Amino acid sequence: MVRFIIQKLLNKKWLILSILIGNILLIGIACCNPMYTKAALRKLLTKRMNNYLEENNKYPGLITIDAKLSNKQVSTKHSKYFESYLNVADKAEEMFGLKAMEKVTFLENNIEQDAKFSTVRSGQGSLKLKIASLSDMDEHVEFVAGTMYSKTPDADGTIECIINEKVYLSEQIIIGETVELYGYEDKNGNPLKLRVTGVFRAKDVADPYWVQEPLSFDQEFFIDQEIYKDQFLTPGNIEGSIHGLWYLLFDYEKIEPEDVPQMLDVFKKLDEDNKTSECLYAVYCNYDEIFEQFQTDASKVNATMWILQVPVLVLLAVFIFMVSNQVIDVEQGEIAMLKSRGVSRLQLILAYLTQSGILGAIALVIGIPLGILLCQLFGSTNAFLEFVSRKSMSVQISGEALLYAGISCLAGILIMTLPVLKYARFSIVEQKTHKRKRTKPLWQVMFLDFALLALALYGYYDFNNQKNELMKAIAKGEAVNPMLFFSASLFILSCAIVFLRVIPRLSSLIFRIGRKHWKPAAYASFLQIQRDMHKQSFITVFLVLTIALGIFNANIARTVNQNEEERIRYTDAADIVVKENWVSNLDSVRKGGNSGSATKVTYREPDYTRYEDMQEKYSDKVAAMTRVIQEKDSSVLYGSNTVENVQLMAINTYDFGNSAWMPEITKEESSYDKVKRFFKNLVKFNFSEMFKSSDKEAEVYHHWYEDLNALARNPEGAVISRNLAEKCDAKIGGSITIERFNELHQSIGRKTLTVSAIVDYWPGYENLKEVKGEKGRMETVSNYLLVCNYDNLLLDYSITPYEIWIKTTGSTDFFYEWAEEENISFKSFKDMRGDLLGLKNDPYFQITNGMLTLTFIVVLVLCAIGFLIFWITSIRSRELIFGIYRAMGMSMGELIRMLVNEHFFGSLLPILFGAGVGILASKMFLPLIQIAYSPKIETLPAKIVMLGSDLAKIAVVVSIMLAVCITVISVLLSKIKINQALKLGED
Amino acid sequence: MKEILRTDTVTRSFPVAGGNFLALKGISVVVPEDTLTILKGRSGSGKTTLLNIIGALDAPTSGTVIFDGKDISKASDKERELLRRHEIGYIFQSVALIPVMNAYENVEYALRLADYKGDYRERVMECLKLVGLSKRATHMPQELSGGEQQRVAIARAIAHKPKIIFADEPTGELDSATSLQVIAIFKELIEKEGITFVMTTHDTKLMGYGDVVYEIQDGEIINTEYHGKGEKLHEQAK
Repeated sequence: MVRFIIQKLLNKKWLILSILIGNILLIGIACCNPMYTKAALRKLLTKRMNNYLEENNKYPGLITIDAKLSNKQVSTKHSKYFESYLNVADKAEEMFGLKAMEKVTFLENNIEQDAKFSTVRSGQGSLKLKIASLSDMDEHVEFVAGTMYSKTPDADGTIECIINEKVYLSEQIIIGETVELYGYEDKNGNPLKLRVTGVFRAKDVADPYWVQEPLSFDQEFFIDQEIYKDQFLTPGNIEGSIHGLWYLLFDYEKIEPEDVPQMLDVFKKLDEDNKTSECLYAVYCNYDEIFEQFQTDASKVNATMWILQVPVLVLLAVFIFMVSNQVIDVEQGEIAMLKSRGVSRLQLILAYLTQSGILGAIALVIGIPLGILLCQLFGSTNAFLEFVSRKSMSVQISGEALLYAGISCLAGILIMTLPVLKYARFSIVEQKTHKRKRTKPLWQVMFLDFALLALALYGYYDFNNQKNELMKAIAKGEAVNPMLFFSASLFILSCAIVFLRVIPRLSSLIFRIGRKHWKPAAYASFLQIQRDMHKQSFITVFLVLTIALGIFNANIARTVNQNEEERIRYTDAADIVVKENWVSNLDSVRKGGNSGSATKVTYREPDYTRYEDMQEKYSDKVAAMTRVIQEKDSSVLYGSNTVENVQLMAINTYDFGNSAWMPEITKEESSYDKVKRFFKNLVKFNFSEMFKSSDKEAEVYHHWYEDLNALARNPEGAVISRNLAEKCDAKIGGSITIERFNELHQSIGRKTLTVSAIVDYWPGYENLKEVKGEKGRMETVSNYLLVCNYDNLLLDYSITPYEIWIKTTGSTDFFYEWAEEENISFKSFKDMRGDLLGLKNDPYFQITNGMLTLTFIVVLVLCAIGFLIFWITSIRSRELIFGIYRAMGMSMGELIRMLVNEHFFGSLLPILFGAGVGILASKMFLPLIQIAYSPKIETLPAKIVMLGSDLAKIAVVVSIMLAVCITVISVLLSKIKINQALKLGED
Repeated sequence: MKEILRTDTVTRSFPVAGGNFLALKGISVVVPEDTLTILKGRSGSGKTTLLNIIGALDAPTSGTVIFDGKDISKASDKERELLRRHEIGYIFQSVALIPVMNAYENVEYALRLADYKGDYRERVMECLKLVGLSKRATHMPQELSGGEQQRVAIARAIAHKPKIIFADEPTGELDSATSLQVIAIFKELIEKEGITFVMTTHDTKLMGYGDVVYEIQDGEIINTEYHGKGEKLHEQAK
């Protein structure tokens, strides 16, 4: 049987190859999901941890256990308790199931001790100190003076110790000096003596071992940890209490995303243990916030991956089904013959199952490596249809990936075998009778297509009504509701199916119009389209689906990317925004008051001419440059009220206009609102209003330069944000008073200005901001804006630190070089290109871009293959008919014209319709989908971006596809020898 | 009575592995007007090849084919197409109807192709009536039996009033009763419409109905028989 199957496979190599491609892609895409998600999440986690390290200068994988132990506790609960105290860190490590990279134990006597120097000295004779020990100290210190302590006490019981530079200096200790402690006795009953042997510092400041900086110990005398335990940590012999700190440092780069939930659990458990434990300890960890945030992000990334992937998987399934159906259609006669020779239905199905199994197995072998390749491809996606070479991601084949591959392989096998069930029922006689029956498909009879369309539209309607809830959910960090994507896909699908009803009717309409005048070729093709449409329905739906989905996905990618990029540009406001460290008398003012010297903060302006020189030197690279005073916490006074959170900007209007980045802002009514208004007016019989644009849209777009000009015209003028205008009821021409504060939040005076413009958007201005509220929770509050003239502001105030905004013509590298040359240190530095690059590396966006790019390519490939297969097999199966046409005197040209006409209805119309549906779906659903990608604070109105270049790409592929198809068909046709074609009839 | 078709030492060779296969080895036949000429022979004898050549579907390797006084052996594709459109009709062995057209439309299609000048409807119905299927005009091919389909094919072949109709094994898939019916229709059409029929068959029972019967074997005419009208013509020729 296997030989028979293999023979069968080879006979239809092209069809089989296509099915194989379909299956390979199915498996590859399915198994790349878990692999990519994992790799991307690992990257995300490491990145988050790195950010934490950079921002807080603290090691992110740190668990701190803090516990105190007193004599009382140990004597009552004796050794068990004592043991658990000593081993608390090991126990925790065990619970985490992860080997700590570094384990540091810090033990010290909680109470400071009085001690005196044994030697006579010029300075003070006594001091206060704490005896402490750190594990493995010798590996992490180096000596400024002296040497390491010894690990055993001297014969007379004196213990060697080391101190840091701070203690060394403040107590003026000489190396080799001995101190005697009053409160402790050594083993011999003499007062405990410590001899200082060295002054240490950290061997490597960046060493994570130094959770507590070496210089933070200002009283500690460190002795060997074993001696310490021996001396102080024996049950019943504890003086005061012992303070223990255990630091578990996990190598955060080795923490896998799947460890996250467990690590959080263990942390919570330790924390709970703490409540029940008598040994009062506290557990802190650095990563819980990172981890919790990561978990929300991970579920979002996961959901997004799925949402974007499902349409492709469905499309692939449809494709496999379609081609398998085609294969079985060709084999119909064979199947019927086998049936009539007594092959049972089961045997037949088994034969096909074996065939599918062979194909599935081959696909599995190729599909899994393809999955890995796809993951790497995703990792190098830069934007939609853009790839860069980037450090490839560490992708591993996981059990999960294999599981996905296996499931998709099985699904593929089932889909491939499905079509045979239909034919396996009939013998050769029944097959002939079956052929005669031609009924409308069930879904058409039951109007399922319209039902689906209605469902999709309801989804659209519903989501539009819940838009606000949707935004809130997204702001909370939830993933987008999959139903939204489902509605969009359903809309496209149902449009495609409804279209099936349209084509024959449209063709019949055109046919009827010129019934008498059609040339024989056109006549035959019209009848072909109208009466044989059911054979084509699948490819028609497929074409509409692929084209529409391709366009829709391209538009999602473009929209999401561009909106986010614009947001970054808008909030960064210029290519480079820097602020230098300004020298000021801030410290003395802060301490002051009593000295009475300075109460006003004054600054020394750094040399601005350096920047001007730079602008001249790099005149080809600097397009514009300006100074901007920006303060986030000014207030506006109105009546007896105060508006806080006013962002003050003082600008030089002309230079600002040239340097700042501002997107073109258009207010367009959403298509949903348009349609809603249309129907509202329709119901009211208000026909004249139906197509008019709304007031919102009628609002004439004005360039922001007009606002700048208004400000420039009035030196005392101010541009204020709409929310500020509403809050204090300000009108253009009215006055507004601003109060500024210095860095110590002391008022530095008020100034009254005239409102010259009210704006919704301004470079670098967001109308909401997140602040840390009570309990450390982030809260969103209104952010207001007031922009005034730079020179005018300086009339009333002394100079305050300003930012320098630079617009560059291209790369910003020159600026880094220049800043290094000039040795300028910046207090803040924003590089728009760097931030944009960060976006490209964001896994959420990477997945979106990668997945959508992949979908787009797969769609085009499938579309081309499916299309060619359909037409070639369709031509093959019609060879006899073509022979008849030819015998009846039709020329080759007429035959081709006939096929071109068929293509018009069977291919071109679906393609055009698909494009229309894709654009329509984008207009309808993109404003909703965009929400899923918008940041917590929506700064700019989201735009729907459709690029002609994407349409052009599709158009090019489709044209090539059509051209190839027509060529192949022509070649096939010309090869058909009429006599041979007709002989087919003899079989 | 004149002849409508004549071949003179027609040969036809096909390229095969290791040389050429000579399917026709110099055949000379004459088809008299308004007769039923039968090409008889087993499969592989070359009868269909000959039919294709005299039916302007294929060109001979050498020799001449004179149809209605014109040499068509060197005709261009275009000329052949026009000939097939206007002056020639075909009937094939198996289902040779256009599946997306009903009986009426199938017949009408021949008229469209030939750019028939008269009233389509009248002519189509006339032809369908001639084959006894006027009541089944709106039936689709798959709704008709094998014999009915063949009769529609005949109606289609004669619709545009060709001078000659070539039929390749027209009874090959029919039972003997239906076969005889088909031959009877041929005979009737020769009388009523003045059409010449050339058909191939291997059914020996039908030989008696042919006015002229050429027996072909290995690409050569090995025997010629004359019956009825043919006999008379043959004698006249002598």
